[in-house]
Amino acid sequence: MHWLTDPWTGYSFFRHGLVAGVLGGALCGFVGVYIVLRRMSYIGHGLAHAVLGGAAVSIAVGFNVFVGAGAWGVLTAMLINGVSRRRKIGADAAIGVVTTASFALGVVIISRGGSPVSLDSLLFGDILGITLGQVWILIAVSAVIAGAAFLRFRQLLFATFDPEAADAYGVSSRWADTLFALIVAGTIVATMRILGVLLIAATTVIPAVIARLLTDSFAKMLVISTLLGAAVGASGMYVSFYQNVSPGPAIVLILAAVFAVVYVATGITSRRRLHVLDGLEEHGETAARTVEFD
Amino acid sequence: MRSSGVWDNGETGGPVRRFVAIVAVLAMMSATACGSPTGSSSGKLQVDASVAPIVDIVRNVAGTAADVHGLIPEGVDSHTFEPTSDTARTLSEADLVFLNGLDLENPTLALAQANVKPGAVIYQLGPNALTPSQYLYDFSFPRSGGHPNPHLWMDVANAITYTKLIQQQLDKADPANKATYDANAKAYLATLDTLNGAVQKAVDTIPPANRLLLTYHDSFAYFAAHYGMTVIGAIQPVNFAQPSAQEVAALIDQIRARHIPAIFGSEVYPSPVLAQIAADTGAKYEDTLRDDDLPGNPGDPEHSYVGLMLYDVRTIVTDLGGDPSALDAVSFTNTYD
Amino acid sequence: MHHPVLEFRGVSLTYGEGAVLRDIDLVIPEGAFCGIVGPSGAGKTTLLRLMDGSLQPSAGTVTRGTGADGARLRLGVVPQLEAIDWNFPITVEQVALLGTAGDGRRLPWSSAPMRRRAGEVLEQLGIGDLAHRHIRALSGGQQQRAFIARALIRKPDLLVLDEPTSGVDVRTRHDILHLLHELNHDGISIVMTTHDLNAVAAHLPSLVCVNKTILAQGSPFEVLRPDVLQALYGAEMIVVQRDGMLLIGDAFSATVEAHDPAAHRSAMPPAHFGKPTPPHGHGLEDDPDHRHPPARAEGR
Repeated sequence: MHWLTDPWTGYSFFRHGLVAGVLGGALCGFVGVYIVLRRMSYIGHGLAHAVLGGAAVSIAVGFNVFVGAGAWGVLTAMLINGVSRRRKIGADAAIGVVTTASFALGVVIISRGGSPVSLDSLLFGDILGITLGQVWILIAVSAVIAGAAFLRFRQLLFATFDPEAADAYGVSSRWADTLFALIVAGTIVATMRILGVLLIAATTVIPAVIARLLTDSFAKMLVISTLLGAAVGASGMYVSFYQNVSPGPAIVLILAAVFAVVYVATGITSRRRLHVLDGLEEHGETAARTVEFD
Repeated sequence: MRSSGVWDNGETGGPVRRFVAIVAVLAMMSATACGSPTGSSSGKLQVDASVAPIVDIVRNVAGTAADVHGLIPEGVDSHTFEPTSDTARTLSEADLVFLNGLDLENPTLALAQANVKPGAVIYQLGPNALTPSQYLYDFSFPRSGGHPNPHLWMDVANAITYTKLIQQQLDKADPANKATYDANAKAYLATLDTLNGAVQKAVDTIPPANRLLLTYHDSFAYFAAHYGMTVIGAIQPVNFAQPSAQEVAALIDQIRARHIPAIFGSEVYPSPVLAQIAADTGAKYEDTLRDDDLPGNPGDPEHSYVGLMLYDVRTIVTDLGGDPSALDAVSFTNTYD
Repeated sequence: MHHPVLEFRGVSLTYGEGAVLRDIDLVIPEGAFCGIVGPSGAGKTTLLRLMDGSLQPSAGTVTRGTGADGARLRLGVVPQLEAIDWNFPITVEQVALLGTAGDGRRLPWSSAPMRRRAGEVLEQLGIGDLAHRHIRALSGGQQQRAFIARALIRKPDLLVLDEPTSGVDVRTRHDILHLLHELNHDGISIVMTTHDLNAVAAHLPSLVCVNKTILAQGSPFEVLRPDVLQALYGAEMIVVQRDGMLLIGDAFSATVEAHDPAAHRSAMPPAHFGKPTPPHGHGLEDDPDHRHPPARAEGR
């Protein structure tokens, strides 16, 4: 087992990176379930870009980067949420406009120079440069998000599943959306240093999608996605250590490989019965084709 | 039935939209309209140069006989600098443009080729200073990529070559002022000679075991080769690849094994990874080195190429356990002061 | 006691330029079972949303009565199920339990009493054995009942349903209507929208006809009359009473095409509404033994 412990005992950068990878992966996996089920898979990608703008503006103004970028991220998430309720412009188009503009603003500000945060670091992450202080921040953010999700679990579930009926059942959809925006933005800001803007999209979406293939239970989906995110975060660091590849891309490639394996496996080992519901006109065009996994 | 939304609330819908549109148009207009006037009316030769150290060398040769303009703002990464319309305007008025070349400022080169007036000369110093067999390749600029390391001027000997080339070009473009240019060049070359010798002396005082450089950006290839140091690594992402944990661990092992006292980042490239490596090894993380932005403020004597070299070498030598006093013999005065 | 469960007084709702609903005066008494009928875009769903409080009127007042024990009126809402993601990982029991999500409980899992209550409601609705089934593995009627369970779990005083029988087959429709009647007998007031006059509206105890404003209220016999229907739908309809039942259909004149079949070029006449089709060949002149069976009757 020396191969497991040697990097840990030998280098503080590895310890920090490993904890950051595990926590960051777990966080993205957890939040990803909500993102995927709300059919907002692009929000991770878009928000990460937008947060870059927020970070740059904060630096230019002299504000604390984390607070500024986080607030910007929350605002963007809520803006996206609000706009996506309008039918005329699709949510994807709205996200495209808002987030790329914000990203461009960030690039302009940073490229003009004088910024204590380099563009490289924000784009690709700097997991190998995570300090102990940043690890603590990550732990704190994870705890807060986990707590919020725990205490508001049923409301979040309702708002994710049936946002239109939520208010009629005493679940304020406005508060649920705000909470969701806060959680997503918090996750993005906390993991941006680890994964970088370009890779966050993958880590918020892929573990959740894999979990969905493996289970029909919401609770199990959360557990699987979180654990998978954590496991991949850890293995990314070890692969980077023993195979001499960058940790960020390593994480994404591992995720893609796991997805491929699970996708094929769930197709082969289960008996699929495609069953078209009689009277497909029931409940309009959204009536599902029943797929039974045995 | 129209759907309601933020914009569609009765009478406030139309006017709000119009307001936003007007603000947006005004913002775009003002963004493009901002620009500084150039001094093309002075009648002097208009000379542009790209990065600050080169601009300073050109100024030292040109003196007050020509108008010298810098194209790349200080503190900006010259490799990724995106020229603005200001840059284009300056280029269109130039008679002579000095670039480093060797892919240091490709976007600026392309803009220059597109924008200079007929008869203007674009001169690339790098390819004219060295023959291809003298090019150096390293971590950030591997031979397999085909692009050599462009940071020639960090070796004072190359700066001397640059000065001579600049003198030639100025003489050719503006024969009326040849005497001035030649006199300036002569004085400046003397200063650079002294600097060259002083740098070598100072580096020689570093204990041989410590003559190792780990930096973020690979700017010291020619410096190291000339003055007898070894670059053991540069960790800036190459082709979008961050270093791997294995590479970082290998660097840490090296630093620990050789007891290297300091590793070097730069202000333009803050690097948490270098800071972490320093924490893991107990080496000092020195993050004030400069590659192509000059110390101090415009107007200060140290805000010059000589000032840049003095600062960097002094910092490197001190941090690595040497004695920088040889550098005190070099004076700062620029010919244009 | 017949104090009203809901009272609308002079209620209007406008979006931008257009009035969606105008001058609504409506009383829903306790124990009512009321159907809201009207054409598309008439404002039926809007009326429901004014009832459950998710929309506020631009003018007028919506008053809710008190529920059992004098507490606030409890509403159970069953919206149209068109926007539901049937692939969402959720079971029938979990859908029912969602009805309690607004109760302020901080723990993520439901308590044993809550789960027992969910089981009771599901049994009452006849889907008790489907509790742990995923929602996509249900028939349309079962899906509808799962969402009714969500509304019933908190023992509402008033149940509000939006098109609960649209798109389901005959059997399911009967089941749902019977179910609603039972619930009504148990004391729950019911308001539902429907666009199906014959199969649904005609069988409800009371109706409200809405097309931006209330055109008529009362029992089906009072309300489903040709003149009211003409005003409501802008179309001519006939009403037939038979065995104490109402049958509503399109008036003959509305469906007759205005041109002469003799004017057609081909031997095979296109569809003709409103008149019996004349005998014709099927374009198969050489089929004297009728080996090719005739197509099903065209037209009506």
